[in-house]
Amino acid sequence: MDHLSVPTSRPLSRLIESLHRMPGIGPKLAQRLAYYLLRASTDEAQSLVQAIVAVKEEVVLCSVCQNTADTSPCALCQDPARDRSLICVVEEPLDVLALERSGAFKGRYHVLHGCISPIDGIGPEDLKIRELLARMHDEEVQEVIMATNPNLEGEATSMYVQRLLSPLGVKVSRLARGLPFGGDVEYADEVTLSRALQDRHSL
Amino acid sequence: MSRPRVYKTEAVVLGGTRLGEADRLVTLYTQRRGKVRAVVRGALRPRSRLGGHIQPLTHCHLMLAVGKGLDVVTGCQILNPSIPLREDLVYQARGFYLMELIDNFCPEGLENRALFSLLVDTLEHLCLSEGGERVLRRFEVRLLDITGFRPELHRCLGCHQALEPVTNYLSLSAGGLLCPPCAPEQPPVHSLSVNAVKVLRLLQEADMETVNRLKLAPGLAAELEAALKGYIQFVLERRIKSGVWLERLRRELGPNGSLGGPQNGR
Repeated sequence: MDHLSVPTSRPLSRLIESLHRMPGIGPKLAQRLAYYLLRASTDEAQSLVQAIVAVKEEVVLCSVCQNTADTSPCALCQDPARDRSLICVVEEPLDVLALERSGAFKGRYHVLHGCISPIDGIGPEDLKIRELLARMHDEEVQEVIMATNPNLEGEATSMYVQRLLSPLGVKVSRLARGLPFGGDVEYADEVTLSRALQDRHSL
Repeated sequence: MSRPRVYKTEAVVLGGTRLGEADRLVTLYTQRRGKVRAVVRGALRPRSRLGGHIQPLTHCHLMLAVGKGLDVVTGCQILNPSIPLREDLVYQARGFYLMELIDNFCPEGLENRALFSLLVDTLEHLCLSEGGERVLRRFEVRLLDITGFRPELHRCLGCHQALEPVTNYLSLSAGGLLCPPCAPEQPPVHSLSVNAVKVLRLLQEADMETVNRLKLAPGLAAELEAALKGYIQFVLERRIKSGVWLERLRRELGPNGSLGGPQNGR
């Protein structure tokens, strides 16, 4: 037991410690959440417990797109209305949600579950790149859109995948990089501005 | 006199991780305070005015506010965005290697202006130069020199005699060269050809222009790389992970720049 075990109740200390292990939750927040749960009704606490257990027991990785889902293949991969010739490659399942919210993409996805990060020792074999290559053999894919994050690691991942896929005759593109809607040209950095100029299009 | 609450400095961004909802914790190598960890508030939001500026490999002019724990970046102007290092996989891998070396060699809060100049100079030449590997070798040698691990390349560390122009041995534990009779007594050692020793001596003194003119046969370049990586690994007591990535890319990239391998082929 450590500094978190100030509360006199042992179950409470255990809960605080468990919450504190989660990303983004510091000791103070862990204590507040634990005391909130202590005061919450038994039904609310039971519902939370069931939700956590269900996530662990029922969520699977889709065998096609590697996204988290209830079934494998997932609903998106089974949807006949989606364009099977287009695959959008993203780093995390949350990126799929963001793209789906935009409503602008009607193809299918592939989730890599991370990005290449040499400094952290994360290489291509730690990602779902092999599964992406397998899809190139099994499906009639015409274009792969790289939607990795626009940072150094995301760029490395995109470039690596592009070099793997290009010899297979698949068109590889990536999301345009430029000024965000509502942003200020004055405050844009040089890299964003130069890429916005490169990727400009006629009005 | 009280410490100023805000300070300005040139810096090179070494890397960063996500912090909380939309902040970023960045590692900077600054001209005035050495390695510093600082927070960039809201850096992950698309409309952040700082997020795009504070990216790894960027040389910039920063304004930081002294925080209770971590300093906070409040302003940034880019001096060199290092664009070529972002657009090519191998160039980028060299950049990663450079950042990881600096991060591993430098403790936080220790000013070292010579090292900062070397870093800025190397970044600039990695963007321009075709001979990126030579630039990296010079960086490694100069980094060892500036941080106090300069290997002795002129006299044998066993018998203290001037070295003969024959194959000598780089002793990792002794921190320099040993002549053939002294080498077996102090393992582990790397054998170094006469040419490799000459190039290492040159790299200890040469400026970037001389390094750019240097022509190295592939065998000699590999010998130098292996010796320096072994020495650095011994000094740091760990492997430089980006070095493994760089080696892998060089091995896997075909002549046309595509990646081959057993998993490929449609």
